[in-house]
Amino acid sequence: MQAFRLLCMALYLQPTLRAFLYFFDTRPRSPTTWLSLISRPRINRLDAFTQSFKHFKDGFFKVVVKQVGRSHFYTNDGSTKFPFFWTGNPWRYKGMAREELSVADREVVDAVMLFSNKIPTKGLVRVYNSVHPIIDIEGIFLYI
Amino acid sequence: MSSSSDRVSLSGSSSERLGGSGTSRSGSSDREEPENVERIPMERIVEVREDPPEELAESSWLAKAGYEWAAADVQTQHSIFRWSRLLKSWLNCTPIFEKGARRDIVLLERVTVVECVCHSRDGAVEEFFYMYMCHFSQLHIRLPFDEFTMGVLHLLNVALTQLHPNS
Repeated sequence: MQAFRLLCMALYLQPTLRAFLYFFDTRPRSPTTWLSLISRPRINRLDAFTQSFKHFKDGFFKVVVKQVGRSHFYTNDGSTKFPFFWTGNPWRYKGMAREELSVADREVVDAVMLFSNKIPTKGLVRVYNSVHPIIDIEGIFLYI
Repeated sequence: MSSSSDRVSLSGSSSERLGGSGTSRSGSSDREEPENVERIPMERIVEVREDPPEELAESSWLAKAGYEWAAADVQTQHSIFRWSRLLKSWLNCTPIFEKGARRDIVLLERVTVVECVCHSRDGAVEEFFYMYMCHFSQLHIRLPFDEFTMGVLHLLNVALTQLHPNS
């Protein structure tokens, strides 16, 4: 997700939600357990984040939103900008069709599809905190 | 102005903290030094709430019901971060905030023995969500989140801890 956002930044594109999700399917279809985004074969240009996440499940803690921070996490009408807690009905889909995309979505999808090789997700995420992300990302592309 | 001072404190924070304040720093909370109003923007330290005294009584509570919709292993998924001391020691060496972001927008708190990852607010007064340590330590996610990340979660209708980290 972070890598896709950075890639769009480097291409001077506005990352759209459906354009991102177009490159993936969700798993599993049931039951309600951890939801994974699985790359669609031959379509996704971002390689899998190969890091092992064996022990992530018992490492959670609470983030309490303070009054001064509300605007970061809540919309003006008072609802949260994302689900704060697990939901019993995540959006599950498989093989999103191009027709489901808006014109703006398609523009992003087409731009990313122009890459013939897999883009190194880890490298992209690593430059996330660097001083000049755009320059660094262009550096990564020199080696693809 | 606050963002530039943050950046300075980010680069030199660890040595400042070790040299300047000694061991008492890790045990003190914001409430104990109300006179130091400039502390929050200048320090990298994250506000971690201390364990409440009722912790022992809490451990005898029954496990919460009402989460049958989740898979069995989800319903019983507890956390190792049940003591603020443990949480604090991890957070001391894990970046949490975006460069230049205010550090007082959230408060990080350990979980109780009965809390599972799929639990919700359950009448709690405060508004909170759960996060995994690996979100910060391995995935470079920082607070506050960007609109794109929150939008994806909203569209998928999942909590941050509900999405497998490999996604």
